[in-house]
Amino acid sequence: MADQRSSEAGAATIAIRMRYRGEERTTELPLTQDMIGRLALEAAFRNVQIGELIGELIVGLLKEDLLQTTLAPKEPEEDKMPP
Amino acid sequence: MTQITELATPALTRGRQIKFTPERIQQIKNLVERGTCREEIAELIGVTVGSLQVTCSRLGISLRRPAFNKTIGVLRRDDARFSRVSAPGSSASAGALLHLTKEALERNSRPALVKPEAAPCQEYGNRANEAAAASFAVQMQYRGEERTTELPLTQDMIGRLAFEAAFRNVQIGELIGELIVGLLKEDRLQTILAPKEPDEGKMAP
Repeated sequence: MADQRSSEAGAATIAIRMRYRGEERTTELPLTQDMIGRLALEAAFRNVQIGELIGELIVGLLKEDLLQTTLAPKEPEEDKMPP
Repeated sequence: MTQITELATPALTRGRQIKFTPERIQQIKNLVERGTCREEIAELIGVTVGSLQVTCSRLGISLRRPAFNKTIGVLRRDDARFSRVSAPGSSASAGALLHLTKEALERNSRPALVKPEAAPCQEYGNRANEAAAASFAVQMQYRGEERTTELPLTQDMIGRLAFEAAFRNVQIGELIGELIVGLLKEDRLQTILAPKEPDEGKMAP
């Protein structure tokens, strides 16, 4: 379930579309249906569209400089520490 | 230049809005140099493609896009096209260049935003809609329907995402995916979205 991607028929998919100099690239977000549901719920409560919510999230992360903390795995070196 | 004035003056006398001002003509030249297609240019200038083609033909401006390096990069530092927009011959740092470019593009492009209809070639986001700028959108598909929402990212933000993605050896789209998944897994939606201490001003003394 946790890894259930949104690839089934009838399921929602969310992708990022990038355009630059006339070229276009689309990358599907690896979101599970549960994740999409949570985003939809959050968007509904805030009276915004899911896309707008995602935009707000990205802008919020960038404005508060939280890219590193969000992307970096938590304490990745702990396992390698000597006893 | 005289040709440009000739084009602009009759438009004034007829009480129409001048579309092809000298600044606009220069902007068209810059856009063509940057590889912008004619539909995009027409949209930015606020004219029809036909009108653009006729005017450019009269002025001897080729709308044919120059061949450019296909390597995808966001606002390359050594790209001369950016210095052409606002600071010809400038050897300013990338940051300053980017700033100047954005200012110039904003100044040049703003009136075109009034036009509501999107050109067939491209539709733009609210902030990243300058010519040759990168634009990001969220595309959702559900039961055969598709919805697209432009992300309100500035070119600076896109640059930061691009850097972050490059350092992590992932694509920008993948990075955005990781960010959203990371936020959802750590249940941090509220902290990012909620304004900081919104009720402090309302507190009783």
